Amino acid sequence: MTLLYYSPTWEGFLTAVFEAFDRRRKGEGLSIRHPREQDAVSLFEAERIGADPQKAERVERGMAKLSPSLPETVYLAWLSERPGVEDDLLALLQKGFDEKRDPRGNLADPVWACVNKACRQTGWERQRMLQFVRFVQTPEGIYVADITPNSNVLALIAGHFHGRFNDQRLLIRDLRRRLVLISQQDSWFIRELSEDEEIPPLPEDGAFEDLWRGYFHAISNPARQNLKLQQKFVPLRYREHLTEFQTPPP
Amino acid sequence: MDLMEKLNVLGDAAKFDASCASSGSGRAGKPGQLGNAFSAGICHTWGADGRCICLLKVLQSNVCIYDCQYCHNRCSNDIPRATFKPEELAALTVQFYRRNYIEGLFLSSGVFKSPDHTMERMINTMRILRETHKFGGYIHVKTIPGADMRLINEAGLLADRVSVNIELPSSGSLALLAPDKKPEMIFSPMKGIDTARRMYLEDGKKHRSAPLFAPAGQSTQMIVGATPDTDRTILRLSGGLYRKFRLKRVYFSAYIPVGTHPALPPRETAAVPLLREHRLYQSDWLMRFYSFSADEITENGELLDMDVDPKCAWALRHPEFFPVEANRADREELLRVPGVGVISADRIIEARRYGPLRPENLRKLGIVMKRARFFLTAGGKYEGESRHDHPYLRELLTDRFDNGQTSLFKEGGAPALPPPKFSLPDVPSFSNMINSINTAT
Repeated sequence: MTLLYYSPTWEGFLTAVFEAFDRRRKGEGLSIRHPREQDAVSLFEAERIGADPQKAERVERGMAKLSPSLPETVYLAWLSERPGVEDDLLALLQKGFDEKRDPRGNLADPVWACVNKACRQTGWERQRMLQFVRFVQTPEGIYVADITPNSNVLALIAGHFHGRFNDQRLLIRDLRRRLVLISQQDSWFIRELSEDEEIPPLPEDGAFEDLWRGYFHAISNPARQNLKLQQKFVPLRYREHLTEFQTPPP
Repeated sequence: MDLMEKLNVLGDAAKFDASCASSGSGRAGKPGQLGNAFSAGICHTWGADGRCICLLKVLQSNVCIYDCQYCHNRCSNDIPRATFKPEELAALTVQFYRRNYIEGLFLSSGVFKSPDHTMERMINTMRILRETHKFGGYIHVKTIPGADMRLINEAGLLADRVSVNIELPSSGSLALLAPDKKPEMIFSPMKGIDTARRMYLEDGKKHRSAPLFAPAGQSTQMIVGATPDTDRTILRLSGGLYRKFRLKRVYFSAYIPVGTHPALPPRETAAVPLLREHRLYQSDWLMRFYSFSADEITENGELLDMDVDPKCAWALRHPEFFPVEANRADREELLRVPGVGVISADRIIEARRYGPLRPENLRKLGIVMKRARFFLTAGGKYEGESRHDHPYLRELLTDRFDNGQTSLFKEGGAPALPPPKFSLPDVPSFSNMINSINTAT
């Protein structure tokens, strides 16, 4: 058994898939791993695979041939960053290429069930970010928000915020992955922060944050108080970045 | 009064409105402008009562000339009063929206001076939002009973969703508790909105530039538990409203004791009937997505069963219908099985194309086997330990109050009182009135 550590980009992942296919044909046992899962000591042989645009392109074309929407599914599942999702995807694609047809559809098939679950996790996390991103206005008039999502959804929410707040300059900072989305009227892009770059803390926004917090407490009906239900919808891990949960009720 | 106090007073006054939806309107943002509408809706946060907050739900003013007994804002109630200036409210909405706190504005109001005057002020707020701020987000406006139809039309062209509150589920209750509001004041704008909506939709088919009129449709709300109206009356009424006026939603609001009228449940003893509200919403879902009719749901009596959900209750009354075979049943039949929802029914249909399903596959598909196993076979296999017509099945399916979802309704303390019993004035029922309204198709 060999562990393949890929360079953590979409291209890098597809290159690893290509390599894995190539070697599996020779009967080798393989597992694709995200580099963050690399241990100092391992029972298995480990190998680093760089990104190769040509190999990645071939895998992507192969997937699209099985079904035009398959690459997107694979991409969404990969973004979920669930441990082991790489191997599930490899198994799914193996099945698809063996049978020469779209491997999705049969949810009773455990491989597709796993991948589908990963896709749904990404979808949920994206939805949560559309709900829970909170901007703070800086003195220069830029709107900044911090997030720490479980899945890598920054690229998936960019279009939404770019379209919605088209007359604003926006920064959304994924603190966990050190990615920053920069959006202004004509375009948006995502930049990865280098390791020595410091992320300055969010500034105070003042009056509107207080107004929002006041409103948040006024609108809830004490006769129907139901904190358990509230927590079901707003899990604790999101509250760190939510303006309305920052200070105790007055 | 500063903005903070106003917002607290007028947000507090709006907390009795049940509806909060930002769905049904899909509109892309315009380059260089603020706001779009996300057709599935986005809830931005949830309050301590577990209800979603997606719109800035406030009243334009909580000053009111009416004295409706069930209402917190009635003129005889001694509470602080405030009124937003249109430009003030528009600016506040935009500031909240820019920080991604909300999807837009939910504007309602007490009636100050006159219905028309109030409506004009609300239109003014929306106009400033749409025209001065170029705001493309969601607006839900509640029309004022008795306002001129011309004003309601104007509001419909600015807002995404328009609603007219029916307030109480029968004309008798309305006559008793809200003598200032006549049924015509509710149904004629509902009809007007529906007619206008369809007219503009027709126009839209001919010209691309035709304006949209309330693209997210209309909704309504009624209070449950303040009057002796039964669940059957309520469900029949909502069925009628969905059919006749093509409403998008009917909201139910469990009555919170705010009034002292002798006909209302007494303030000290009445608990909020949250479980009843929940069962009504479950029934509402069955009517809208599971092709159940109001009469099927309430065939057993005037009131819904509080122990088991309405779908289980129907299944228990119809042992002849079960068990259903997952590999053969059509969608309609699958939807009748407790524990199988719209999504899981579609998944069963999709998955069985690849091969026969067995009980363990069903579990993987996300079917709630805790309930479904009594009513479902897969490849002839039955997993319920008792038969689907077993006398104790009802007990097995009873919602337990110490765990699971329904414990969410227990926090109110005392069990909810049954609806008050007193006789209502003898007037024609809402359902009859609705059916007699002629809506051209």
